[in-house]
Amino acid sequence: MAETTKTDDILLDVKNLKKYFPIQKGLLRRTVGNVKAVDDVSFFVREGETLGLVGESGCGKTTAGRCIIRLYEPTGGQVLFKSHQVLSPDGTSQMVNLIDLSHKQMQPIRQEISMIFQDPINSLNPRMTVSDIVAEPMVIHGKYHAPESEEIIVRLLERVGLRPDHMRRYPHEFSGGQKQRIGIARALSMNPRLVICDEPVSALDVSIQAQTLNLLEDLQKDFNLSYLFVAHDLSVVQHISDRVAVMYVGKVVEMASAEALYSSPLHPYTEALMSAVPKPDPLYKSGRIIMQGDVADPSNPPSGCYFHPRCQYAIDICSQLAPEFRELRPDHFVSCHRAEELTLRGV
Amino acid sequence: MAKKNQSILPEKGQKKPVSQSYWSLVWWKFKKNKMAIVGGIILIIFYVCMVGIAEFIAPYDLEHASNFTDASPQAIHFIDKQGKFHFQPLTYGLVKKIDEVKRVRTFVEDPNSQQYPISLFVKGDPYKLFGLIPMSLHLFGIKSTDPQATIFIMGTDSLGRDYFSRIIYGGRLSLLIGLIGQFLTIILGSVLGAVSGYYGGATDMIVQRSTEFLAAFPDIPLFMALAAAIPSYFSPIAVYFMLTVILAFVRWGGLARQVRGLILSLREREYALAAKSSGASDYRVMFRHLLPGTMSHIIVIATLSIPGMILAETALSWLGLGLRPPLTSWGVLLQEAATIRSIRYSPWLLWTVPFIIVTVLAFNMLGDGLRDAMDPYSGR
Amino acid sequence: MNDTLIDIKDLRVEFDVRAGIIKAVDGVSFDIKRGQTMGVIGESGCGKSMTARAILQMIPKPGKITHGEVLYYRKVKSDGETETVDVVNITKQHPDGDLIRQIRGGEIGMIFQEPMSSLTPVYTAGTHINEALYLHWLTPLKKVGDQMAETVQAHRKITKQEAREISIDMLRRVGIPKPEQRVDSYPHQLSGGQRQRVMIAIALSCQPGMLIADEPTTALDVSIEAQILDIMRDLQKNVNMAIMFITHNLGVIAEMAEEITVMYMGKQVERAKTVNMFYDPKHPYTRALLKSIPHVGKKTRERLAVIEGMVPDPFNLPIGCVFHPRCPSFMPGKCDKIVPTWKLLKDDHWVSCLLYEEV
Repeated sequence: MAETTKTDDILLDVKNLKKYFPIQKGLLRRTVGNVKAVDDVSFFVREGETLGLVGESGCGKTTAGRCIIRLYEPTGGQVLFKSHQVLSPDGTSQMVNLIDLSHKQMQPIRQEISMIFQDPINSLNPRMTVSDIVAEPMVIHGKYHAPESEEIIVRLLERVGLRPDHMRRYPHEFSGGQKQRIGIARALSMNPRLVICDEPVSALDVSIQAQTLNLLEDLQKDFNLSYLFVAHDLSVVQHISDRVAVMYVGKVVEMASAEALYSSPLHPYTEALMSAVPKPDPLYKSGRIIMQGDVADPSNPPSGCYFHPRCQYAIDICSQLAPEFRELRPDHFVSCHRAEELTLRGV
Repeated sequence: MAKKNQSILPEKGQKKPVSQSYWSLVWWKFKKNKMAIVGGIILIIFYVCMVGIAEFIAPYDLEHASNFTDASPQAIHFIDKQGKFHFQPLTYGLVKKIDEVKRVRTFVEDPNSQQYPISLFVKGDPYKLFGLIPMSLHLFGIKSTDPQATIFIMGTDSLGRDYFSRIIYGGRLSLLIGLIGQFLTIILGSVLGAVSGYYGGATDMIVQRSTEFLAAFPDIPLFMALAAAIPSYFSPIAVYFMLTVILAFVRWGGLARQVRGLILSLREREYALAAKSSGASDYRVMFRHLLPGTMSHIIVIATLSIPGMILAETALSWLGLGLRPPLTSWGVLLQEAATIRSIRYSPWLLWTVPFIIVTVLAFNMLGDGLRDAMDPYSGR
Repeated sequence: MNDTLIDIKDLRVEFDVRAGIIKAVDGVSFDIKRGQTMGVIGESGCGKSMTARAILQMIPKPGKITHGEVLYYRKVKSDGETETVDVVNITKQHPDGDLIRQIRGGEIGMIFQEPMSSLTPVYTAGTHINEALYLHWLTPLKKVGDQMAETVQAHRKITKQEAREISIDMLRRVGIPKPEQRVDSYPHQLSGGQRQRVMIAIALSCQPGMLIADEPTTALDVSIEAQILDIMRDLQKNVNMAIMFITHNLGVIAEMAEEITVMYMGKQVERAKTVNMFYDPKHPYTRALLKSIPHVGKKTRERLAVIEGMVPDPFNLPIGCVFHPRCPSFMPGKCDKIVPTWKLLKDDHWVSCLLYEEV
């Protein structure tokens, strides 16, 4: 998949990732089916860029993020990561399949990938001080040495907009936005290269969202970070991402640069999703496409293309055959049978 | 370096808040609950006086037998028979009273006897404080060496031993068994509950079925079986220890279930996931992140379960299945009081009961207060 | 003809918590007309939810209405046909009285956001549960259909079978698949989004004259949100239902509201028709808010304009205009001393800011 686009600066390359959760019924807990939370998903993130992963609830974006960092064990596929910890004989970094690694082998690589969580209240241990929380990754990796590490923590807190005297405080003494900053500081404490942001601003007030997004962008420039930005809010994703992948019921239906995606989408779901977002402009003529029905059920998805029951452009083949995920235009991937012939509306 | 974000916290003019750890908030809230404080103070007094310095508090030694068998409690008088007021209270001597019809011999207060003033800090039966320091000072008593000078404020038993002293010494064993037993239960219950909740699967099933099995067993026969299994040649201390272990063993299931439930809910909390994603070992996640979150619940559950343990020991010993003389606990004392004859003619032997009741109530008040305080974020 | 449905006059709601007194609502006045949609926008802590609850006398303890009135112009059918309008002073009613309970659910419906997700320090979990029971909400032990039917039957004289039909119909209208089956499920069997839709169905089932929607679609997916907003608009047209739409989502409010009131720290700062609010905002807070949101379709790689600083400590409110520490148009000597008054500019456009006052 990565053949036609430049490959040397790819940091994370997810290929055919699958995560199925078995459904168990009955006294003997027999597996009667699977919830296909992530069903053959492929995308990649280049160094220094932000890939937005967007979709509605149940689309698998959060699960995909967690599989990459191996909070969940993937059922199949590959997660290739260019780790500085694993070098080939000539000294260059190699792409390592994270799924193949044992937990022990995974440990050093965990310094390079970190995660920011959605819920500011629950993502910080209420019994630990701010300094303990931010220092924890250092402690886990055996890299904590007072007082140098304390220095690092102080600088990190200042960099995210907090103050040194916050170090001894407890999470409940801070606002939602500040708690999120603490979480960001924690994610940066080991100098990672890839940060998976799991809905980092969804739980924040509008004006705090802006501050936090700006902070994330600044940090990305300063530390040369790559972001996998998982979110459901299309406007936020468009703002912060270089490229965007749209997911629906466990599959990626479209992936392109942010501009291309928003101005000329190729997949009917993307089109419908963008038209459904309420625009903060009372004079905007929506001509909205209202998707009927509910989001498909990942434990019992429709046949063929999962989106076909709700798609206004569906034809016979859509209910019979699942479409291929292919690169239709340079760096613009889509999985739809009718992608060539449809002209869809962007925003 | 990009432009530093403007300082976020309120600036001058605003109060600088003092850091508030979870436990300091808990303490703050706990202090407001008067009942809980009362309960706590009672327990502190009981534990210090009975477990710690029982020898000092009790006017007599545990086994100090005398001729004054089945004596009814001696009243403490501030006003003597002549109507004169004394600052220093006094007692009167005892005189034998024989009831020919009921064939009962007791001792009662002799109004014609000499007055014996009661003083504080009196020399009496020698003992070793904490088992180390030889002393013979007692909190209160009568200075005189006159054998008639007795101070049995709760009467005596059939061997003439001061009942009040026996209650104090008995309290030592009963209160201690509750505490130690509960401590063992906490360890056993929380570790097994945590492991069971965290790992799920087969481990969980095994632990769960074990707790259910134990819970389904009828209590008394189980205790009986286990107690009977204690070899008779075991020294009294060993028996005591075994009994504590048995109580803990039977009771850990309840706590384990609670802990398991809590761990299940906390396991998916994002701070636990954050630790895992940073590479924390299971051990670290469980003991550094999850269990501390359950600590407040565990403490409350434990506090409220201690009375159960004390009562269990009391019941067992009363049935003769638990401790036996020469070990003296409240249960053993009740056993000695458990005949119709005693209740009828020496009812003061039931003084043990109010002590038990007060202890149980105090623990409940303390536990309730702790439970309310453990949720300090709930605004009120 | 007087078209007013609700008239709020100088409402004040205070919470007495251990650290002091929080002025959750501090002098709010506006009216809502029949069939109109009034949007109330603001961030957390601005008092918009409390204002809504005051209308239904549902302020949780330790909060209290300390000042002001809420007048409800109630249409009553006397002698079968003639309609008169009764003015009910809601603030004077007992929160548990018969009249209020008749109005709640029957004449004025309310939808909350899922409460368990946002426990502010002022509520205990118990309060939320009480609320649920208060408004015949989704108690966990009863089937969804039964609960819906109860609400409907409490306010209309119909048989159980009819109530069930109505419930199934409402479930279908809010987009719940297989409503004939879902009507018999228990709340925990539904997803959060579905529960919210059931809530909306219940609130709408009695075809109330006014609906108070407090963040009704915040927890829902965009595609479902679009459906729900559609349903609300439909019903509004059919039944001439007024809506008080509370949210922090500027996109939703641009679509739904005809008029918007902006709140900050318990006070009103601006009120205008929607188009004017978006195209000619007067208050610096409104302007900053509008500039700080990313717009789909307007791709700029520039930083978002932020509102500097933080929401002030409710026990230590700034003197003068409460927004002044964060205001880009701050005028020293004025804004930190004088409290601005609520002034009518032209064209039904109100604002409370010293930029528009002579001092």
